[in-house]
Amino acid sequence: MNSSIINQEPAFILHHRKYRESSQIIDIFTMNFGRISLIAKGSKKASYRHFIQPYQPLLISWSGRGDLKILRDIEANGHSIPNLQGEKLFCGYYINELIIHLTHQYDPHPDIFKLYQNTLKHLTELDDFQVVLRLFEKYLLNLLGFGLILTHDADTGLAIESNTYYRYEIEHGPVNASNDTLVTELIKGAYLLAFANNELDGVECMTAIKRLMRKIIDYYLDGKKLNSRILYAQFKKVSS
Amino acid sequence: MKNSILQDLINAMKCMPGVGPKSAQRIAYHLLQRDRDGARKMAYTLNEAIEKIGHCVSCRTFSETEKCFICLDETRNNQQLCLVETPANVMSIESTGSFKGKYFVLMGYLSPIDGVGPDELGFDLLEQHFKTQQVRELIFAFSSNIETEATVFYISEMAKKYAIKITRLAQGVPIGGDIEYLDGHTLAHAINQRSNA
Ligand SMILES: [Zn+2]
Repeated sequence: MNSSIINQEPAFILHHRKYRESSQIIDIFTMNFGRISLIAKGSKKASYRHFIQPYQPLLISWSGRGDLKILRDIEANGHSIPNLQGEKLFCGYYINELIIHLTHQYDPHPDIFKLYQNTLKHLTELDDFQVVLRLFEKYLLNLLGFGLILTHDADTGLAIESNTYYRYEIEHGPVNASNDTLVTELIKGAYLLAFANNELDGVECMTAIKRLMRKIIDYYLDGKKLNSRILYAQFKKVSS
Repeated sequence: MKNSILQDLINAMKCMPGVGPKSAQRIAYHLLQRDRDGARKMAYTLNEAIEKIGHCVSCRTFSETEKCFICLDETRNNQQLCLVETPANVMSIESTGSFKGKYFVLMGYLSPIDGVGPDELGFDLLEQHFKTQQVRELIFAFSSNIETEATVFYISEMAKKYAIKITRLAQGVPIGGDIEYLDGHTLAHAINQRSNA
């Protein structure tokens, strides 16, 4: 029988849960095999146990095919990433939830893996986590094949103008809304262009882009709820 | 199916942690063959426990009475509130005999992916304690890992407006522990948090 063994695959742990008395089921996001689940037998006492935590670059080895893959070992993969702190802990939940809901099991996405790794680093390095999250969303959609159009009108092909307002139609793009009677949910051309250049400056721009991305992300989530988003909203209520 | 009650019994045994199909069968046969009295007692006690053990309305630990014996104990210090994940953690700390404050049992920690949020962990009730009781110090007695950090952060922010002091368990070299075998994080922490000798 062909029992396959994968050695030292770059990976992140997304989630783990108890399985039986002393084992765990570990959901990981790997560079070359996408999202997979492993059974970690006797992990409570294993030498690798202190590596079982999210947000750290790891090398994971496993064996077995199909749905029953057995974890063999976990090692550190280079330097550890400093722990997320404060509100950034909620960002960690958020990007993990997006990866879980928007990628399929066993679908290899080396480029999304890179994006995930860089996003974690940026989260720990940069103060403004909102910007990091918006760019993560933008590139994630891109790599999933749902890239946004931010530089030209999807109907006319004309370049986006800074002072014109647009209506963003999902799976189509921004459309000149000068003749719209409804003025809700319109976005200023300048903000689309800023987002295209990764230059999110100012509260108004951030708010507009956040609202836009929320609508688009929700569309691709197809009714799935993001618990991390609910948690953050609850947190904002009690912490103020 | 040949013998459905026997099969039901074996299946029922499997709900115990660490008991697989083989052990379940072994336990079922043992009880029927050698220890029917013990089995009867177990069935009765299980039933009693399921019917009568609920959660303490004040600290959420398991309790047969509306409030548990710790919450009812007036000799204990109301100003110190120790936060733990499970009732088993309460028993562990109690067995040391070194804590005389009160507890609050979350029954888990924040884990959005599992659908565990503030509502599931009783944060409302906890905030009621901040408001109405004289809590001066909140002690986090959690397992030390990144996954409980959001819970610590959330509750700390919640406690801010009540001017409550926040502490957490010390981390360092275990008694009888060999420095050679300590992981780097723990050792670094132990060096930073060293105490007067
Ligand atoms: Zn109680």
